[in-house]
Amino acid sequence: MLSIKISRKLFHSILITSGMLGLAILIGEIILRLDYIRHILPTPTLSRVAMYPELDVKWARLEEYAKDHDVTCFILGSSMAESNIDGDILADSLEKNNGIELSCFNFGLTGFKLESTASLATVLERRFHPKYLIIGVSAVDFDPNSDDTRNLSSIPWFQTMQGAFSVDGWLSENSMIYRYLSLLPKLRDNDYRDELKKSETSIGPNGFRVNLGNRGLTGNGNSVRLKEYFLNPYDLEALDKILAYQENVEKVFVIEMPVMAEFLPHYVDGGEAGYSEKFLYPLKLHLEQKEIMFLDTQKEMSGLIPPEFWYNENHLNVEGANLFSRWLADKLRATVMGGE
Amino acid sequence: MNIVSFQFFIFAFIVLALVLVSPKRWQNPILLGASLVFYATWNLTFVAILIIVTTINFFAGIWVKTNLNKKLVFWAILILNILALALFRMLDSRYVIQFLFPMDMAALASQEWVKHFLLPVGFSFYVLQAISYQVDVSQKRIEPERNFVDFSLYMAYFPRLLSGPIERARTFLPKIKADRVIDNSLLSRAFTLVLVGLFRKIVLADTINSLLQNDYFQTHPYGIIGLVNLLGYAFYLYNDFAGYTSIVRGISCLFGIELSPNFVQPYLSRSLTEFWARWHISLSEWLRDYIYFPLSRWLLSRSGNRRNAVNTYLPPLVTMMVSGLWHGFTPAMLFWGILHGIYLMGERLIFNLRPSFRPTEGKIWRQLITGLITFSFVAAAWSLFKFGGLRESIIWLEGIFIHQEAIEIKMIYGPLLLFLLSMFLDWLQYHYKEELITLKLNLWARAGLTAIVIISLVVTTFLNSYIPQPAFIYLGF
Repeated sequence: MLSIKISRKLFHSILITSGMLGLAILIGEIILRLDYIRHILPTPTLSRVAMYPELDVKWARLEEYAKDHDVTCFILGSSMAESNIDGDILADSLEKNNGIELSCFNFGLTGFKLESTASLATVLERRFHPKYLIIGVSAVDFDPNSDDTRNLSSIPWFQTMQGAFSVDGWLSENSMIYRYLSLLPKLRDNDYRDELKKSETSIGPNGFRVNLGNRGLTGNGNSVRLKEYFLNPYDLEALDKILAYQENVEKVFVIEMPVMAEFLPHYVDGGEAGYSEKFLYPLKLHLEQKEIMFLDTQKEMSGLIPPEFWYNENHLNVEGANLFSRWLADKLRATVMGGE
Repeated sequence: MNIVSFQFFIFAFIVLALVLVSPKRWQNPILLGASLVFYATWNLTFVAILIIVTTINFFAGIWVKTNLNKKLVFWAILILNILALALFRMLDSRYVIQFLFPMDMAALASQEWVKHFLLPVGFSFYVLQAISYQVDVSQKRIEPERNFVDFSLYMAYFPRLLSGPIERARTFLPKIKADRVIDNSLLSRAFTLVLVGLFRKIVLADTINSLLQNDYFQTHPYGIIGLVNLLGYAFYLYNDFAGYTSIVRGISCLFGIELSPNFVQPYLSRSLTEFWARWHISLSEWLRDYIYFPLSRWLLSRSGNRRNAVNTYLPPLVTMMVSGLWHGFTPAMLFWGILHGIYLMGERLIFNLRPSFRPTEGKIWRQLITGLITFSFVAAAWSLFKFGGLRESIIWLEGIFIHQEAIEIKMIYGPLLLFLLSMFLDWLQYHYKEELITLKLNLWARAGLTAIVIISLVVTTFLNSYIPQPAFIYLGF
């Protein structure tokens, strides 16, 4: 006959062990939140599976930035928005010339399509309640033939931050220990480590990615980058979702991200005409119907930006970004915010 | 259902709760039912094969006792069990399949789904239990078991069903028939055994395995990197199997049933004979009692009870060959068995010629050297396990002696640290003469150590989460 006969002493053991574990977790959480420790450790991750360190670095930078700033504006989009618009220069210029006070954080992410950007916008709007959303768009952001980052918005952290609770997502958001534990297996991957280091060194405190130097045209100069192109309806739908935030925030701006003039004929199939017919005009029309201000920059800027200000065919380097951000501030003040 | 899974632990606790709330006469049937359910989670065919083997052996045990042709029944059931074991082993061996069957049949028999269907996990463990039971009954060491449920539980008891330990009926059956009380000390023991097992499996074995899966170790099979790789396998194998054994013993403790310990710090052995008294003890003792002793006795009787070279040196060789074949019907396993047989013969020869060489006596430095030599021989033989072929094994061992310049020395730090940790754990157990050293500590120290072990389990689980880990190496046997 199997029977059980346990005394209170056993529960003391369990209680003491649990207490020690709880204490260890508490101490760990405190230590990992110390600025000194965070600066010497690699950036923790928000996802156990997604190998996308840029998102982790951006979020860590934003958490730091939000400690000292009331984030009133977000710049969203792909790597072109990320490296073309320096939020500090944009804000300084607007404040100096028009007295508009802004704290702009650039949350552009490499390879992000509008579909993922919409999820991100939801997260940022819920958490930070910004006044302005600046969406930098380019033809590649609506490319139906690229799925690289689309599944990122399905990671548990994103889902939890959008209101669909999961334990994994909740822990990623609230526990530094969990974030670092999730990082451990990724650090065993050399490619991930390199990518993380690259993001940590090139992304500034306001989220702006600093591209140094001039690599000129990369890849096959004569081949078309975006073949069989059309505006992906999923991305258009996602853009509408972001535009709907106009009701919550004061303004949503959509800005065309310029590319190097020499590259434009090879950007979308059909050359420059294809770019206009397949990307620019349909998008403009779509936004006009929604009464959203769209700033097309390609025509004006491609002549203003000297070749040495380009990092490559579709990204500006730090000097180019400086120029573009000041130009953008002037445009926004004159055409959009001027009346305020 | 894997042993290291939440499902298994939840399953074990549900079964425990069911057994505890049931009246006495239902407890063993419930435990048996749970064991069959657990086995069915692997494959229903496995359950059918287990029931057939159990039923035949149950009735054969009674017939061995009551039938007029006792010897005939005994030999019939013994041969049947051995044939069954040999047949399943042969089906698991591509060499035998290719040798015995025409090409199309061999291709079919080599299919994974056929193997999955026909080769029950744990078969070679429970058949050894059946053989030992029949021998013990025929030699009147035990009475035949007349309770079918109890006998079935002896064969199918779920904590040990997959990979042992190989229990004897004379020690196991009295335990399941006795009144058992789960008290504080038993629960502490059970919990500590599970925790030590998880530490060996997850922190040591899985981490060593994941470190050695790095491309660098696969592409640099020379010099110190090749050596670390081989040592890594030795520590991986040990901690994996010892970890498994500790976990299942802990789970079994929850039911008030102590299973045999399979390992007593084998890598601290100072001779090969001592090693086999510390490594996979339940198998070693089975081989000793049912192969080595009978063979020695038979050879002695043939030589008029006088010691000679044949009856001194042949039994260890034959015993180790059987051990090799039990692990697999492959040339590599056979050679592994022969190699250990030769080791034991050579060691016996040296000790007979020079009794002062016996390492249990003498100074500490001599014990250290003999320990190191023993470990080197054992680790070299594991290469046959690791590579599964004599040629591959020799190439690897040769590679260790090839000097290689410009190696990334930092690659060996992680594995070396884990080898030291494994040896330190063994040394603690050896020094304190207690497998579960934490039980000797006071409440606060024990709680602190438990918390550290739990934290290290969590950290390494995350650390190794991208690298697929085999469930347990010995599941393959």
